[in-house]
Amino acid sequence: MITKDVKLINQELDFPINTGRKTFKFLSQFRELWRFRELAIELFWTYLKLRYVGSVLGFIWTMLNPILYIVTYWIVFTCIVRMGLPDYPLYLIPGFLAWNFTFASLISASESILNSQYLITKISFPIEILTLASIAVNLFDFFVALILYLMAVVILPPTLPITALALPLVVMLQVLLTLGMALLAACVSVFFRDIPKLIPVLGTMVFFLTPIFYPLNIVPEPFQFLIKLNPMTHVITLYHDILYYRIWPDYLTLGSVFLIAIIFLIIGYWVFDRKRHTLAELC
Amino acid sequence: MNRLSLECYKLSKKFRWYERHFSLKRTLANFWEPPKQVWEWFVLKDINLKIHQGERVGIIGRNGCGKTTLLKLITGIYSPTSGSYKIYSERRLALIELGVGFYPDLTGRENIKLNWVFNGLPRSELKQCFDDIVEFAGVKKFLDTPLKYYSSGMIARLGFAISSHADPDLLIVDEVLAVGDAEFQKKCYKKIDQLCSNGVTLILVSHNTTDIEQVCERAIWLEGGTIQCDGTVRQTLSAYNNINKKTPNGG
Repeated sequence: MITKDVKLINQELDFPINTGRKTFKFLSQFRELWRFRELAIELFWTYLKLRYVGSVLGFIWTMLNPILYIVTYWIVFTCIVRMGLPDYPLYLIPGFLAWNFTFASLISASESILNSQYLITKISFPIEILTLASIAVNLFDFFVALILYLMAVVILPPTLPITALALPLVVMLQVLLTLGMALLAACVSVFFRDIPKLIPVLGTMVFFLTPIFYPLNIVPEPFQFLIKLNPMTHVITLYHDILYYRIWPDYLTLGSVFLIAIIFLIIGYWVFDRKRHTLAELC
Repeated sequence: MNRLSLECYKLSKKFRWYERHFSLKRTLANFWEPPKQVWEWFVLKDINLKIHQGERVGIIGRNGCGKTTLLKLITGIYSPTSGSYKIYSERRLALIELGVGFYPDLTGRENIKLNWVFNGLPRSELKQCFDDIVEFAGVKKFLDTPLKYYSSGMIARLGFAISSHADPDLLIVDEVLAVGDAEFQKKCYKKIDQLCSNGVTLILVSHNTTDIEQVCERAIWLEGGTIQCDGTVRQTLSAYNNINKKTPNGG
């Protein structure tokens, strides 16, 4: 079977190879991500399909889940505890859906790498795609719910305010913020397996400390400062501004959310990129 | 002389294991204390290697000599502790394990699509060779059946079929062909032969020296993380077999 003469045996290499990776490492990583863009899309569909394999209601769960939660909060805060806000569902729903997107994204991101150990140790691909695809699934849920909400508002009496035009911008800001936090969560979860268990509990705690089902101004003055430290407070405030109070978002809030989001994104991606090979070795 | 396909310069990989605190609490409590005990060892040490386009290289060695680690380094799954490597081949495909990237709840068709993009290949190219893949794997009847109902042989065939039909110019195969039956192995080696005659670089890892003898023209013997012998198949295998005869239990 040996067809060719082997001419090169025991070659000596006496020069270091210029791999050219150090200087443009970040750039080459983005090029790599772009090369695998179809994998991201395909994984997104796969996750979507696999989520409800074997469940009777299937896709309906996507809508049923937030609806059930919202109805619960609605009943509690209009019949049992009076919040004193007119058209309370209009206040509650957007904030709740937005919170739910970030919360669910963080949970699934923290499990995204750990659940795919067999993939990242056997196939070479940019592993942040796993995290991105799991966030995309949650974003899809968010969009479905948001569109249903908007449709309901258009049909029912208090029509959609013009300020709702700012919604895409606000959603974009929130996605940026969530991306950064999720990348960080995904990476750190591999080092400390406690994080995936901690996030649901911590998230529920932060949920009650974020003005989602109550307005910020009912919080006693000294504690308002603490609540404002949470970046999600400002994101939710933006949703309330444009969809409930019908005012345009102020530039200061927009700008600060954008700044925080970018900082999170840079830190998250930087940490992830530095540790990407360690993730495969630890898993 | 052919152009280079892959080159490694002083490639080393050190694994390190220390008594890690697996929980956040213990880590925080003992944050400033150094880990109690650290074990370090080189899985690969100073590997110098040049592989040219069109060469068929076999890698042999005992368990734990660093074969798979070498493959994981050059495919970019691990990063080297020191040294550097560069791959000049544009389309490298690695089969570290057959059936990785398959989801049991997806159908065969969906899995082919997903596995194709897992290799970073554009989906538009799949259309041309989809039928060939199905034909080679012999799963035509089961295309719309979820993969969990496939036999392990079928999954192995599908995995190999996808990578070998993806028009690679560097194909890395790790021990995976041992899974299938004799007929399947024959089919695979025929396909590999066909690929190699088209100028594909092949890196084949195997315990089985007869496989290496059949397919490869050059063989590398790894032992204890270093290259023990690098030469024609006959040279390397005779050296390897000699040692193994003397110390059959790897002593």
